[in-house]
Parts: sequence; C-alpha cells; structure tokens
Amino acid sequence: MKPLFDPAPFAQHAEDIEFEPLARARKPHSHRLRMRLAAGAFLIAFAALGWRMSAIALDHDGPKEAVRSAGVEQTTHRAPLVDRNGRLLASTLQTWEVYVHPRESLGAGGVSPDSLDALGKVFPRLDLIELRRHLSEGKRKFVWVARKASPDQWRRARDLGIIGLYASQREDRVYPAGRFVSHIVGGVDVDNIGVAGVESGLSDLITAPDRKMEPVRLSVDLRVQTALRNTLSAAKSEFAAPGAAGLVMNVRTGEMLAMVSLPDFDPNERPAAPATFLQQARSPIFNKVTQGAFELGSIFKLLTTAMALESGVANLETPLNATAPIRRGGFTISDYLGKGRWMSLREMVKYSSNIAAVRVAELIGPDRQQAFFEKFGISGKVPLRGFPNGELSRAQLPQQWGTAESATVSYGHGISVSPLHLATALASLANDGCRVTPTLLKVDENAPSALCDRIVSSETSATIRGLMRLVANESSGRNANIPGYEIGGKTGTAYQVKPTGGYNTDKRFNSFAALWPTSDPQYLMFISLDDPKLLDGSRRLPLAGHTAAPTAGSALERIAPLLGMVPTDRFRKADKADEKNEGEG
Amino acid sequence: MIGSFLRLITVLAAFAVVLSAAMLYRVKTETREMKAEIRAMEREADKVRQRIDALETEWAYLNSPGYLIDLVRTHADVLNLKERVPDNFARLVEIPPRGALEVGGQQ
Repeated sequence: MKPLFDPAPFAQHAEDIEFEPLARARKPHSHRLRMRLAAGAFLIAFAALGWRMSAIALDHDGPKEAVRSAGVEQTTHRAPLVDRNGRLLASTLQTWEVYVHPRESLGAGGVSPDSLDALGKVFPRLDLIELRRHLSEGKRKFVWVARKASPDQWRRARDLGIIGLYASQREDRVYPAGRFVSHIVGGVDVDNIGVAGVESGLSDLITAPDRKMEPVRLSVDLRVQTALRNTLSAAKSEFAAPGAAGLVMNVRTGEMLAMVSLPDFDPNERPAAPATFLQQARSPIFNKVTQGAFELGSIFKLLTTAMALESGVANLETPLNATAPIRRGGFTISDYLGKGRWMSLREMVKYSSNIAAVRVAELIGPDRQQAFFEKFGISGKVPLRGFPNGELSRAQLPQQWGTAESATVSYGHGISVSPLHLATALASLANDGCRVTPTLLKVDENAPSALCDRIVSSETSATIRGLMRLVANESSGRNANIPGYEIGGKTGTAYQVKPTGGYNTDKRFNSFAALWPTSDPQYLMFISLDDPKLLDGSRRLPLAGHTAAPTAGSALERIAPLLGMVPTDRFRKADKADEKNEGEG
Repeated sequence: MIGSFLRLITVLAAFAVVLSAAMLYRVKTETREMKAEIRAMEREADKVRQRIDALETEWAYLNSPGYLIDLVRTHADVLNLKERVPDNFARLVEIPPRGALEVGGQQ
C-alpha cells in the first residue's frame, strides 16, 4: 500500500540542512564589532536628531512660516475700483446688521429704558417707540435694529449689555462718487454679486482670489466724467430734454474716459429694474450710451463718405444732383435749408444734404453698403471691454437692404444704433483707419501697440478728419469750435420713431460727434440729446447745431484743459502780441 | 570595558532623550504661543485694514465731485474757485516773477 504522501523528498532535504552553531560560541569578535557598529549608528542618529531639534528650537523662521501658510481667512472679497488716476470709485466695507430677539430680552427681565435711550443715541434713525412696543409685547421673535451699522456703532451697542441684542457681519459695497459714475459701476445685489456695469462685466477680475484686494483700475477719468455729466445735466435743463447721453473716448487706445446717461441714479441705492419694455427706456438704470438704439441721423454721412472714397465710386469733387427732393420707397427725401443745386461730395458733408447722400448711396449700392457697415462694426454688438453683454444693444438694421433702405441709411435713418456703435466706428475712421475696440479698463501705456486692423485707408481717414474740421469750422458745427483745439465735428438731427411706427416730426434726437485735434486725433466725444427744445424765444428749429453742438463745445472747453491739452492759438496769439511789443520797442 | 562603554552610551542616550523631549516641549509651546500671537496680529491687521478701507472711503466721499461742487458753490464768496478754462495756460515767461504781484498790490 502506497502511503498518502511520499516522505522521501522531505528526508532528502533534512539531510541537507546543516545546523549552524551559535554565533557567540563561534565568533566572539564579530559580536563586539556589531555592538559597536550599532551603538555608533545610534549615536549618529541621536546626534542628527538632536542637532535638527535644536535647529528647529533656535530657528524662528521655520514654525512661523508653517503658521502663516495656514492663514487667516480674508474678510472682504470684492476688490476696490479706482479711476485711471487712482481715485476710489467703489470699495467694500465691513458693516453689521444689528437685531434683537424680544422674547429673549423679556425672559431676562426686559430692557431698561436707560439702555433703550442709549441704544437710540447709537442709532439715531432707530424708531424707539416701535422697538419699545416690540420689546414689551414679545410677539415677534426677531426685530431689526439697524441694517447697516459701522463697527464702531456695533461696539457701542454691544457695550450696553442688552440681552437678546445680536449682530451679524456683512460686506457692503459703497460708491463714494455716487451718481457721477452710476452707469459705469452699475451696482451689486444684496449678496454682493455684480448686477450691472463693470461690477458685472469685470466680476471675474474683481473677485479673483489672487488679486489680494488690489484695486481694479478703470479707464475712466473721474474729472472728465464729472465735467461731462455736469455739462449734459445743464444742457438737459436748458433744452428741456427728458434724457441725454455722452461719452469721451481715446481714439488711439479705445479707453472710455467718460460715459454718461441721464437721467442717472445713485448706485448706492440702485433702483429696481423696470417691469415692462416700454418703461425700460425711461428708467434711470437704462444706459442710453450702450443699451440705446436710436436713429442718429446725419452723422452717418461721414460713414457714407468713407464708403464712397474707399470703394472709389466718388471723390470729394464728384458732382451730385441735389436740385430737388426725391422719392424713394414711398418717402420724400428733402433737405433742411437745401441749396437746390448740384453740389460736390465735400459740400454734401458740409451742408449735410440728404438728397446728395442718397445720390452717393446709389453710387455705392446696397450690397457694398451693407458690407461696409459690417466692417465698421455696426452690425452686431460693440465689444465694449469690461461691460456685461446684456447691457450692450444690437444694431437694428433694415430687414431687407434694398435701394430704398440704402437711401435712408445713407443719412442715418431707418437704422438704429447705440451712441457707442457710431462713436466706435468714427473713432476707427479717425484712428488712421485702424479698428478701435472700446474698453473700460485702463490700457497700460507701455504695452506694445496692437497691429493695425485696417478698416479704411490712411488717406480716407485723413479726408474724413478734414471734412469734420470743415463742418466744425464753417458749418453746422461752429458752436462746438473751441479755438485752439482743432476741433472737428458732425451734427446729426433725426426725427424720433413713434412706438406705433412712422416718425414723430415734433420730436427730434440731436447728436454731435467731436474729434480733436483733427491733425493728430486723440479724443472723440459723442453727445446726444433726447427731444431738445429751444426755449430762448427764437423760432429756430431745435437742430443739433443749436443744441448738441454748443453742449459739446462747453464740455470740450472744460475737458480739454483737464486732460492737459494746451490750446494752440493761445500761444499763437501770445506770439503775435510779442511781435507787436518788439515792433513797438 | 565593553560594559562600561555600553553603559556610557545608554546614559548618554537617556540624557539625549530627556533633553530632546524637553526641547521639543519648549518648541511646541513656543509654536503654540507664536501661533496665537500671529492670529491676534492678523486679526489686528484685519481690523486696521478695515479701518483704512473705511477712512479711504470716507476720504473719497469727502472728495466726491458732488460734495466738492456743493462746497465750492456754498463758499464761493471766500474761495472764489473757478473751473479751469483753455485760457488758463501760460508760458513760463508770461508768469510774473515771485513777489511781483504782492508789491504791485501794496502800491
């Protein structure tokens, strides 16, 4: 019988195993050596440990750094906003919401009249009678004492020792410049989230954790903004206009130095959004500069001229038939104070002839005109950097771009755009024909200038600037011609569109675009007045040349010196005086 | 000889253990104290920062265009401040030498 397993292999192994005698018995020297080695190793290890520990104990930087990295949480989360010169436009403050639990107070024996009076002294606006009633009744669990208390106020209130009085800390966004920057900053909601303006458009930048509360520098110049707002506000009263809008832009960098829409609001107490669309346009929170869509009238003739020059269908001397009103698409197109004769393209701009503009549009053709509008950035939205997309209007173009539409569009009717659209297109025309992208963020002066995204040639740019100078010097823009600043301009008077369709011939929308200095353009100003009236007793019609142009002139007179621009003829006059004196001497 | 050597090492090691424990305790306490100190300092810094923010905001309020315009209007008789106009620019040679105006005023 075979066993369950074969022991043979095990036996074989057993024979191989040789029992080693005890090491001690065999090699006493080796033992001593090992002990010494082990002791030495331990000694070295202990020495290293001790050295390291003493290093930690003596070196103060080590532990300190470790604690710092643990960090203390930051209490404010929205970085301040400053203007281009560093003036504060928005900041975040710590405030306290103070409230009382009447039942808790009652349970502890109520609040003494003295403490209540003292509380009234801390919060002057507190209704003490109401609070006393709540405290004695104890019906409500919770009553507000103050929604916005300063840290000092809360400290004083807490020191009164009123039982049941509590406070919770919150952040509050404040705008020291108030309504002077209303539409630019926009505002935040109760949760400190930007809802409009740059507070919404630059939200990522303002709340970026790596910003460490470093202020966000806007392109806005508070002085220019103030001057423009005050001038517009005065013009709004002078011409009894329900609304006004204006902007100042650097045509080289696209920086917006000022942007005003009247009526405005105090961003510290931002009004609620209007319910209906019709109310929206009348609401103070509506930004006419970016959200509006208006027919801006004859300023478009500059664009029409640029198109004609670029496409080569006409030059400044091309004769155009403006002898009599013409009918296009069921409309009669006529001129205000028309010359009733043939005129050149130059005169078309100078005298702002609608009929001649239509003749130019017919030379250009609807397709080419439409393509030019797209090129000039008047087809979609203007990519204003720093502003939320929801506050930028889309240009309302003719639905079908036929010859009739092409005719009216040539002098700025049948096309609704925001003042920002037209200002940006004009800035690009002025900027040597290179596209300008408007921004509300300050542009680094040392940054290399971007490559030219050309929309018209250098020559066309120079010609347009020359025509603007002509209008400001000799024609409808004379009222804006401040001596010494080489101002160029163009007026735009348009009938307002009725909500029911068609035009309201009693209501106008007057605009003026000013560029200066025209030989080396630096700034562009755009001003619009909604339904202005001439209340000076004259029977003149409220045309842009009588309303928007003088408004632009007085704004310019204040803004140009603020920007450090010295009038050229100021010194020319002085030089002449010097020569005279020398002659007399 | 080996025994005494071993004993020495043992004594040294024990001493080192006690020493290092004492040192470690000291470092730990120091660290804890320092941590508390830093936290207090950071709280203090935060408070100061908040105060600076509040003061800066107040300063901005006091310098806000609306407030300044009101002040200029209210105290026009004393301040007599005017807006800057293009004619305000002058060349250095046109500015009268220092003191010339006062002398002229006295005469």
